Amino acid sequence: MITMEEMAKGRTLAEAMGMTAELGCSVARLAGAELEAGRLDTAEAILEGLAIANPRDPMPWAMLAQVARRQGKVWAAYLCAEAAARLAPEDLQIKLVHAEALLGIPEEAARGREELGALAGAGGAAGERARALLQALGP
Amino acid sequence: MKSADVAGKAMPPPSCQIEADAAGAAGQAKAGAPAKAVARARAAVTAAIQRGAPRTIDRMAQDVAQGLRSYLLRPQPVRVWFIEVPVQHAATVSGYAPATRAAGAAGSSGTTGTTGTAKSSSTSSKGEWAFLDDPKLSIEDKLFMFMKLVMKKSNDELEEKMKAFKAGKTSGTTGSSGSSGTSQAKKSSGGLFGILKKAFPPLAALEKVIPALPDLVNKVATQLGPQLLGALMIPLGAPWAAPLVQKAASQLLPGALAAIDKAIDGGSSSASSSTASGSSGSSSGVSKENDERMQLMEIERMVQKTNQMFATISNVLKATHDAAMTAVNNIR
Repeated sequence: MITMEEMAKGRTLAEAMGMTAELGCSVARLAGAELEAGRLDTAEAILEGLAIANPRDPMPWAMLAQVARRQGKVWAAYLCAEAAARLAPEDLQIKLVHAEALLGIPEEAARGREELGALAGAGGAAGERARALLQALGP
Repeated sequence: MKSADVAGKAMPPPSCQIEADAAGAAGQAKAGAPAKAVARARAAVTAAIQRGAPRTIDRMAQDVAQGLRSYLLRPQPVRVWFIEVPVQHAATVSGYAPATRAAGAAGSSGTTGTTGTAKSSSTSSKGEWAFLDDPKLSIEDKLFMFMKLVMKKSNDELEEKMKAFKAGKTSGTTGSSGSSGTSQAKKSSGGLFGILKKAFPPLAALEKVIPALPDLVNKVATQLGPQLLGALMIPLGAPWAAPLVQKAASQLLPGALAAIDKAIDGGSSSASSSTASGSSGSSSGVSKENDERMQLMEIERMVQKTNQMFATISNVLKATHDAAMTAVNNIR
């Protein structure tokens, strides 16, 4: 097994368990299906396990941010989104999650709008969502 | 007015027309064109009034109202956006075991304490994990077999760890990282926020803007678990703080916060070498025992968390299976 000290040195629980990236993605997709079905607690349990197994994977952090935001834990959502954004700063989906997490905090909402504005020009689902959010937020 | 008129039979063509209009308007309203439906209904009502057919008007109005009501109260399609795990994500992300020799990673990198697993996995590593590459197996089958294998390995490793602990071999492996432990139960000044502030100095400026920030951080510590909070330090750029934050969040020992404060203040240079701090001298028998206990509990908590994840996946798979079986039973 592995200790937190070993994890701090760069080793992950996923490596120790022999958990492959494909399997991590499959588990993340399973959690995504649970999230989509509205079973937040189940999704949270899966994602927490995945985030602890490999803290270097941005996906569970981003998905945890979505779960936390839906549970009303805005600061937890922000921290998880920040972690995801640091791991994958160029990922459009993660940028969107980060902006949404910021919108949930009144003091940071302006920054969230700025990030949404930067995303609005992008294509794909993330850009479309950003434009829709900006439109809904109004001027 | 004639009774036949009231019944709507005296003038069949207009009455039928009105009813057809009413039905059409209601249908349009149901189909999602309320403005058009209202305009058409209004025209039909005007025509009906001119022709003097009150019951028909009444029935038509009821139809239109029902149609509009069903339109307005229809279930709204809620468009919720969820993050999707991209297909190429597995190829880009780090921190997972290599797919080709998944089990070998467990043995090769574990130089300190996992020699037993290296011995056991090196003999049958290919055979054990071959199911992951089997194209005939579904993802459910793979997940099930993965869970079974990983659970077995985890249990074996935990058992070995417990035996090693019992034999007193664990003291030399990690170097008793937090052994600056003093038994003073001094309450830390900033709690978890104080530690985070030392890890991320910009937080101090943020605290001036948001006075309630320390409370919020401490609230976050309760919202996210201690393990998750510890793991969070790794992507946030302070991996060295991971064990410290985890200990602080879990508050296993009364003086943990004070010890962590002291460790950060005195040993910020020990970012990469937490093992070196083990020689700080004050390793009395009691503190050493506490370190060992904390290490053991830490392992136990991590295993519990992993077990919880697998139990959850297992429940999901069971639910999927039950749903499929319900459909099969209904066919019979």
